[in-house]
Amino acid sequence: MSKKLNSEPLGKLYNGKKTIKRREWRGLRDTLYDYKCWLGIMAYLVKFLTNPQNLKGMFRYRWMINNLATLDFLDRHTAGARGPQLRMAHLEYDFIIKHMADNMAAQFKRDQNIGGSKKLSDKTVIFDENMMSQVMNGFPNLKAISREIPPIFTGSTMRQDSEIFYIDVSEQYGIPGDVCPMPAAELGVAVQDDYPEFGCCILNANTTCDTSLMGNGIEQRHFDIPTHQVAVPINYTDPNVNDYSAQEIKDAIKFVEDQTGEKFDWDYYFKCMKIFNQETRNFLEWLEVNKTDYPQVVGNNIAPFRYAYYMVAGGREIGFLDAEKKINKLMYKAYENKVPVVSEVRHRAIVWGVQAQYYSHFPAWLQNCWGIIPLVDMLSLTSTKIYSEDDKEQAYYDMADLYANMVMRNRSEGGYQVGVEDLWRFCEEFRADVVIMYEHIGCKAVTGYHGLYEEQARKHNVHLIWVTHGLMDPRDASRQSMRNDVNRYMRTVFHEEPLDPSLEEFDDSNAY
Amino acid sequence: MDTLKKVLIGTVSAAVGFFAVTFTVYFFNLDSKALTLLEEPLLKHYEKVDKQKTNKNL
Amino acid sequence: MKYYGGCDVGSTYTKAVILDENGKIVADTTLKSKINPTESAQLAMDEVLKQAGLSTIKDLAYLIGTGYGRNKVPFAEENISEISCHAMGVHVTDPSVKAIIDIGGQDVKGIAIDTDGTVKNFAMNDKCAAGTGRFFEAMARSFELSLSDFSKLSLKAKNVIPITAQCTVFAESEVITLVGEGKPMDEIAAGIEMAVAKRCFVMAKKAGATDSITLTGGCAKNGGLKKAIEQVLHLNVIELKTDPQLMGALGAAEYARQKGAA
Repeated sequence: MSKKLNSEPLGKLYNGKKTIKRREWRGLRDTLYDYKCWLGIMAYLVKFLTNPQNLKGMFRYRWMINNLATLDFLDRHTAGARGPQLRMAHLEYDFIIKHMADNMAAQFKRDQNIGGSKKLSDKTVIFDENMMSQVMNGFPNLKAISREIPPIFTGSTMRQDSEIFYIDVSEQYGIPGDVCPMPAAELGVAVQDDYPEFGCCILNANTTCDTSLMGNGIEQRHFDIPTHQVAVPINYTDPNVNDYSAQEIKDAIKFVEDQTGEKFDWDYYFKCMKIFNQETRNFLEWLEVNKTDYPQVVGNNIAPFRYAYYMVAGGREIGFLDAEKKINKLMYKAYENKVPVVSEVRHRAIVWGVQAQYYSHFPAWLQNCWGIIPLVDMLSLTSTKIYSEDDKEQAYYDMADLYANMVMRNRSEGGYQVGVEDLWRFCEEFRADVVIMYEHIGCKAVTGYHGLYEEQARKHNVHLIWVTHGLMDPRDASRQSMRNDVNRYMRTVFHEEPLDPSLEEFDDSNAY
Repeated sequence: MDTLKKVLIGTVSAAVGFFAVTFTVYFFNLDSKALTLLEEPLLKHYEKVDKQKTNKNL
Repeated sequence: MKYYGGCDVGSTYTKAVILDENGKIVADTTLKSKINPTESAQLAMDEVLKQAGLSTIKDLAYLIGTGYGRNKVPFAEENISEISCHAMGVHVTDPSVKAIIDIGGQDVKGIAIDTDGTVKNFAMNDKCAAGTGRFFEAMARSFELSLSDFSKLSLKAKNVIPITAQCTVFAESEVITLVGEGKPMDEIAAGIEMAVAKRCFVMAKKAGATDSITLTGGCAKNGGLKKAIEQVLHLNVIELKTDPQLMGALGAAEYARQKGAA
C-alpha cells in the first residue's frame, strides 16, 4: 500500500545539516521496496570499496569525496515518489549509480597514478564528457571512457558544492572568473592533477562554447597524449556541409585506428546501433504517454537516464535497454490504471534550457511543491531519428548527425527554429501551459534569446517562468533562490498555494 | 529435528535482527549521517596527497 | 468607519499606508529601513496610526505586509508578494496603466497588470545591483551629490556620455575616470541615467509595455531617469498622482480593504 502523494511534508526533513533527518515514510509497501533497493546499492558500494584498486583511487582523488553523498543523491531523486514512479526511479538511478561505480572502477584499473594496468590503458580511448560516443561502437576491443564524468558531471549532481574547489583553482591559475563553471571545473581538476592517468589517445569535442575550447586546449597539454578534436560543424542539416561533417567522423575513426591498431568493426557498430535505435523507440513511447492526461515517465525519471544512454552508452550497453523494458512495462500498467504522478495536477510543463547540475532534482521539487509536472526537458529532446543499421556510407552521416545533436549542444545550434520555435511546438504537443526556463547566469549562448522568448510566450499563451542558476556553482544562485523564482510566480501570477507548504522555503544551503 | 529447529530459529532470528538493524539505519538515515563524519579527515588527507604531475606542461 | 493598513518593508525604505473603507488614503509614511525589518515595520505603523488618529494596530480591520521583509511583519494578518502589491497600488491610482517598472533599492522589476489589478506577468532582477537604487546611490556618492541633485544635474545635459560598464562596481570606476578626465558632469550623469534606462528594456518587454509605462519605487522620483526611459525605450512614462514610492504599501492596504470587506 502506498502512502498518499504529498502526505509527508518533505521540507521538514531538512534541518540545516548535510543530510536529511530521516528517510520518507512512503507507506509500508513502498518503504520496504525503497529499503530493499537501498540494501542493493549499499552492497554494491561496499563491493566497490573492497577492491584495493578502488580504495587507492578513493584516497588519491579529492573528487571521490563526492561519492559520500551517493545515497543522499538517490533520496533526493526519489523524493515524494510512490508506486510505479518510485520503481521507475530506482530502475534508473540504481542503474546509474552502479554504472558510475563501474566507470570509476574501470578508470582506476587503468590508472598509472595508482599502479593500474598499462595494457588496459593502451586499449582505452578517452572521451570529452560532451562527446558523443557512437564512434566507438565500431571498436569492440577498445574501451571508451569519459574521464571527466565522475569528477565533474556526476560529481556536481551528487553534492552542490562539489565543483567549487576546482572552479577556484581555475581562477587562481588565471582563467577569468566569469566563464562557464563546467569547463572551469574541468580545467581545475587538470591543474590539480586530479585526473586518473590512462588512455592512449583522446577524442575531444568542439563544444558549443569558447570556454570549453580553451579548457580542452589547456587540459590536452596536461594529458600530453595524442588528441584529436572532432570539429563537426554546427550546421543544422545544411546539406552543403554534411559531406564535410561525415569526413570529420571518418578522420576521427582513422585517428583511433592509427593510435590503437584496431580496425573499425562494422558488424559490431550496427549491432550497437540496433540497440540504440530501440532505446530511441522506447523514449518516443515515453513521450507519447506523456502527451496524454496520465503522463508517467516524467521529471527526474527522464533526464539523467536519457543523457546517460544517449551520450555515454551510445548503444554499447544492453543494461540500459533492459532497464527501459521494465520501465515501459510499469509505464503502460500505470497508464491503464490512470496512476497520478502528483496529488493534484496544477500545471503541465516543459523544462527548457540547461539544468542546474547542483539542483538536478529540481523537477521533483516542482512536482512535490506546486503540482507542476515536467513532461520533458530540452536536453532530453535530442535526436529521435532511427539511424541506419546496415548502410556504411550513411553511417558516417548518422554519426555526424548524432554529434551535431549532442545533449549540451542540440538546441544551441540551428538558430531560431531550433532554439525558440521548437519550444512552442512541444508546448502544443504536450499541452503544456508552463515553461520552466532555466537561465544559466554564466552562459552567453542564450543571452540574446530573452526578448524572443518573452514575445513568443505571450503570443502562444504560455507562462514562462525564468529560473536563474549557476550551472555548477551554487554561489551564483542558491537552490532556495531557484525555488523563489518559481514561488514568486506561482503566488503572484497564479495565486496558488503550494501542495506541500514545507517545501516552499527550507534550509538546504548546507545540504549535499 | 531439534537441530533443524535450532537452525531454523537461529536463521529467523538472524534475519529479523538483520532487518531490524538495517531498517533502523535506513529509516533514520544513519548511513549518510555516518558518511558525513568522514569528510573532515578525508579533506585533510587530500591536502597531503603527493602529486607527481602538478602543473606539468601547464 | 473601518480602516485598512498596508506595510511595505523595503531594503532601503519602509512605507506604510492606511485607507478608509472607501479606499481613500488617510495616512502614509516613508521611513529609512532599519537593519531589523520588524522594527522598521513597527515604526512605520506607529507613525501612520498616529496620523490617522488611531491608537493601535487592533484598530485596523485588516493589515497586510509586503516587501523585502514581508515575512517579518508579525502583526500583519497576512503577507502578499510585493509584485502583487505594486500592481494593485498602481491599478487603484490609475487603472489605465498596464505596465510598471519598479526600481527598488536592490532589485528591478517589470510588471504587467491585468484588468482587475492582479499581475499578468513579471520579470525580476535581484541578482545584480546594476540599475537599482544602490547603483544610483553609488553614482551620486561619486558625484558628492544627493540623489535629487544628481537627477537635476542630469536634466541639464545637452549631450550624453555613455557609461559602458555593465557592473555597478566597474561603472563607479568608469565614472571616476571620466570625472578625472574633466568630462562635463551633467553629461556623465545623463549617461548614467541612460545606462539604467537600457537595463529596463528587458523589464519593459516582460511587462508587455507597448506605448506607455509607469515607474514605481524610490527611483521613480528621478526626473533624469524618466527622461532617459522615454528616450531609450520610446515609451511615454505616466506620472502617478500619488507618491510612486508608496505603491507597494498602497497595494497592500487595498488588498487589506478587499479582504476585510469580503
